[in-house]
Amino acid sequence: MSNDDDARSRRWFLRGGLGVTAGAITATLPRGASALTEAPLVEPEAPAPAPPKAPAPVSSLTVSAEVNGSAASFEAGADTLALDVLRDQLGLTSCKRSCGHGACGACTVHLDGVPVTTCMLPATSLEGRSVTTLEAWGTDASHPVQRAFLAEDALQCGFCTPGFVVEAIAFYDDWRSRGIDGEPTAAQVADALEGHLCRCGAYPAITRAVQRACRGDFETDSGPRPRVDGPAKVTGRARYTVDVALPNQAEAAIVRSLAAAGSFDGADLAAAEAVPGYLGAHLLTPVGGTIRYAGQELVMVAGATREAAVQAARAVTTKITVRDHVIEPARAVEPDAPLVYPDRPPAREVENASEGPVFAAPWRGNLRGPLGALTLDPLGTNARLGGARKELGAGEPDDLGTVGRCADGRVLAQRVFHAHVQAHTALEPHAAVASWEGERLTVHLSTQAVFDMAADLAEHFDVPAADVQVLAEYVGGGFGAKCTVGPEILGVVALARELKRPVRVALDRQEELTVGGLRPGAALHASLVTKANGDLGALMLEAYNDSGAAIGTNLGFLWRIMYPGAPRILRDYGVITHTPPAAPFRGPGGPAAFYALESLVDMAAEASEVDPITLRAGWDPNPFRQELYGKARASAHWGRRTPAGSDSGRYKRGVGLAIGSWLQFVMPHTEVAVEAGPDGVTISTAAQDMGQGARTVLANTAAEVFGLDPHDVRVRLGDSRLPRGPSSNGSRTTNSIVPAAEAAARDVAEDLLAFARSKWSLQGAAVNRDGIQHDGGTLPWAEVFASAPVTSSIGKRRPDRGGYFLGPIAETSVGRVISASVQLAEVEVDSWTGVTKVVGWWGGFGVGRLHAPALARSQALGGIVQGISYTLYEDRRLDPKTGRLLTAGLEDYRIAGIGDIPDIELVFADHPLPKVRGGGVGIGEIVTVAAPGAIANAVHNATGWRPGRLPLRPDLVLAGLKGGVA
Amino acid sequence: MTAKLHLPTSLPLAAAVADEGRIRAGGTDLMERRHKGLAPGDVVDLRDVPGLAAIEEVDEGLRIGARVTVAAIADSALVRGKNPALAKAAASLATPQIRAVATLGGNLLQQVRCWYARNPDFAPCLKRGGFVCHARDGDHLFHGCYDVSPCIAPAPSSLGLAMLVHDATIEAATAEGPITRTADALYDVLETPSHVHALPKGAVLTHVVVPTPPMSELGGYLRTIHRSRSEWPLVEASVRLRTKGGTITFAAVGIGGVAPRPFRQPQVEEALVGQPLAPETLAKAADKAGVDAPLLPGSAYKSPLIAPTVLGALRGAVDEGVR
Repeated sequence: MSNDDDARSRRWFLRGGLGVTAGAITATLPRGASALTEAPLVEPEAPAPAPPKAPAPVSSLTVSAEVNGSAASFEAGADTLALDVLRDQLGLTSCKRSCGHGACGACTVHLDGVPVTTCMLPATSLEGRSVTTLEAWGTDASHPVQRAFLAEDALQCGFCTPGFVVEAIAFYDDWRSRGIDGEPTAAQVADALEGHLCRCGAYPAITRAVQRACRGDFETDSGPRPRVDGPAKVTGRARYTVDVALPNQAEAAIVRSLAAAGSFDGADLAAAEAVPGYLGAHLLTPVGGTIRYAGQELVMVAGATREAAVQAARAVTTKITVRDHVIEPARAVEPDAPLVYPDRPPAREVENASEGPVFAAPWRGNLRGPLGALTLDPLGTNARLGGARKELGAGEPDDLGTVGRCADGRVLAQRVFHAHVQAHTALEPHAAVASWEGERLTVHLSTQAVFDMAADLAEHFDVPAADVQVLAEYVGGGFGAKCTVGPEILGVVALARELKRPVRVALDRQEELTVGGLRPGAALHASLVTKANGDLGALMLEAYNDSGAAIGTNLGFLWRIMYPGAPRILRDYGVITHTPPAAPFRGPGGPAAFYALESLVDMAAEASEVDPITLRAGWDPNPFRQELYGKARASAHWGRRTPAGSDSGRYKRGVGLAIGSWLQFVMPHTEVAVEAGPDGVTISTAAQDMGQGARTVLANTAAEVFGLDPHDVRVRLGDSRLPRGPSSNGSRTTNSIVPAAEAAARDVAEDLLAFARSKWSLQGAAVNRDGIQHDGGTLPWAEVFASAPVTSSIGKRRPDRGGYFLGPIAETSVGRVISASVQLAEVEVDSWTGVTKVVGWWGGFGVGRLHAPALARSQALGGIVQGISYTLYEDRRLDPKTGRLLTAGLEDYRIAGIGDIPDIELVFADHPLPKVRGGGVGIGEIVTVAAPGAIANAVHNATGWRPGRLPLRPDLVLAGLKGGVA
Repeated sequence: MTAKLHLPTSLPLAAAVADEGRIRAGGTDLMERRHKGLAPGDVVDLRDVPGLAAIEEVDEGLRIGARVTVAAIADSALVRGKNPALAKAAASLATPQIRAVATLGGNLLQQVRCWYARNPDFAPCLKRGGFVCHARDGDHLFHGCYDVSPCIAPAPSSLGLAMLVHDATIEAATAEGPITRTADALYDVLETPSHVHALPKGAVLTHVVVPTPPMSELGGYLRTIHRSRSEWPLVEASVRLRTKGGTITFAAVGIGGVAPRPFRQPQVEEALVGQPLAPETLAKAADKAGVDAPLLPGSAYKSPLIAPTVLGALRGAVDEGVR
């Protein structure tokens, strides 16, 4: 309702008015409904009678509603949101603020029994109505829907879970009340739950949970609860950083640069200071500092309330000397392009977009690189590639690609593949609450690395490490973007110190999508040649990373660990632009690297007329995959595969295969403490659980030693003061903490055995799962705990048998296991509209022993869901002129919804690995990296067209099908 | 914030103060823009205005109040029985939680979803009192494909498309008294790109009268989207059909998502009427869909999506039959 231009409105008013006098409309005017409907056919020319006097407008009013069964009244103004009232005034923090425009559903509650989002709902509209939040269903997780979510492990980080659960309860109530036998279809569940997004990708389990609840599986039977913090998450009790509310807590907002390049000349705070509730400001870019992207943090403003902080931030005037910027990578490498880092700083001074270390490399303008140290036999590579190119008349790889077969059977496949930028989009935004007590600092932080963050903060603020505590009780997703101390954290810590009160910051969705973490895009100039005997001849990759204002790239490295043996030239470049810095994202580099490599292998298989599984099995000695290839071939999906392009209908189906590898990372000095006493068993380490299941694997480990229900083990983590635990990146958490936990638990058990032997003079005593076994029977652990003094031990993660492949360097060791995946995607392409869907999936993974099988399955499902989402839908877009973010909300930044995910079949090669402590390696990243390659190959199989550019948006698919390059 | 809230308790009182602020019903469009600082000023909330939340039968058809929720339209036995194309459009838009709150009036008059217009980081565009369209020379991947107006953001209201196809009448209250508009006139905005609708400033949309067809009819609605659900349409189509003895006797077809207003498709309607209700008829007619206008470079891909979308809506109308 935006018609603000009076003159124009009036003009159109008249024109419209004349228009409606024509016949058709007069005929349909309602008769006799009320006085109001007896409308004149032309608006009156004469002045209307004086209108009755309206009541005076108000700044705020008292609203009375029923909230969770009790009467509640609160003050609300024109802009007060129902969500503000529920969270901030009533403390009902199960309702999460996440997207701010009704796209994600995390703020869903029941309004008069009907699910609604509250992030756009005026608080005044609650008057006289009944509001029910998840808190109303209590804390014991006994509703059948809650039981079903727990049994199916239909959650990971848990941030979206309350919204899903309240929506599912409404659907369940409706389903059960209609007395329908059986369960709803997946499509019916999706219709009901479509207004909810889950970034961890728990959709398949959510669908199953809702179906099972509806058919009555959990009316009396509570079912299994494989995730120990599941009950806290399905009841809304889990407290995330954004839910922390300390007494006298101030709120912060950030002023950001609209310019993509320039220098920051300072800020005028006069107008901000005049905003009621303004408390203070802190510079996040120094005066004179360089601006390298639109969205760069300039000033943080604190206010007594979030509204005050936002208003004050809007009132700040910044002074920027704007300089020419470069947004597009293609433009950035031109000789006259504006330079992002004209002074070519050392690597340590620039943000790192990759998970590995950043090596020194030459700069040429905005092009940094090459990094070519991983090249293997460059002469051999050039000879083999050059020979095939010469015979086939091919040049360098280009966007169209080349695939050809030499007279002696050698096959050349080459192309430039384009992978796009992906935003991490954790549903809990980056958030921090900082408070100082004298010189002691406490920071509640949504982070994947409590220990490292505390150390970094201590260094930055020059206080002893022992005086800094970082807490992350629950973390609403991270995916790699919550591992470093960002400017918003430094800002609240500094402001809390200055203002002598706690300060909280939580990025809004636009900020989160701008600077909350980005997977780099890449252009991969990729070539492959086979030998006459069908073996792999050589590989070549020149990768140009699009990592914004960050550096660091590892695509070549990922090509080194695949198909070992063959010569290869591997060169990584970074193309630096005036856009937000990229960050490590779950399997950094993997989706792009394996998309290109596996597309080439698929091209080679087709040109060689060899089955794609057979070809890979011959080139690939990985023992996990050797086991998985046969299972993939036997799957129903592979059985449906027909020759590429043979589906002649409008909707074309195809099946594609891609493989991936990942490394085993370990934090070698991981420590886990176990304490047993009259109160039971407590296990603790300074790790964190962002949904991957660290709490559960710790509980399972202690429970296994002491014969306990894992839910009865107290787990403490998410606190930097606990024994040193790993950061949760590089798939290292489980692989690091389980062996240390097991060592500590066994140590405690042995101490208790010694105690029991002497106290009760036991003969032939030994530890077993039920207690201390001795010649006279078994002394249960509970009796031992009750009698013995509190016994504790700190266990350490010992090196794997045979040692590590590399390290420790910077608290990271690289182990000797290469984890493996084989992914099969089945797609359907609408050749009329370009709309492409994934309709089936088979995922095979080799990581050794699964420490929590149900949770490992959830991780695998989530990795596949994120891979589907990235490949088909997600597309971070910047305005080409200004470099400002266009996809600034979850409406335009499109992540997969519950209806976009097919049935997923999972297979694990899960024999314990004898040399690895604990028998298994991490699973978080291997499960996602091969997904784009599998989908792209499936699209080729369906249509005969091979995608050279992601994402597979309808317009790009349509262009490709019509013979375009995409 | 210093904004004031008007809570008029009657329609005349609402009309009297409508000029003094932003009219609010469900708030699903307005509140996000207000919190981004894009819709300042006072608010006139229709919460306490009686008589706007009912679907009633009048001689001409169904008279639907402006505060009737989208979900209520989708679920209404009356609407589903008499105007199935409208019910289907209502059931297909947004998400269940939004449909439960968003209203007919708000849906018809909502602001565009343009990623420039709704982003405070960009200078005011045509829709915000400025003189430029950032999308035209920028990234307009999801904008309209037809270059028919200085602003290229597509009309966002799926119910507006349905109302155009239903020849509905819009009723509004003004300080001077009630007025009416055809749905076609409501969206006569191609030459006034600052507007999303053509109601005069200060008018409060109160009801929409949807004519009841003389006999039961088939209705269809389809939006072509990439994800399976909960996405703004790339292209959408609303269709109505009546048949007698296997022959199509009436057809109304419209398309949306392609321009700042929805378009009726008389050439498609003509290709349907008098023809047998057969798959070939539908396909041939759908192939005629589209508008004779220049295409925008970044969204031209939408043009070939129109015929499949219209065809899908026609098939949906036929396959699902009369309720």
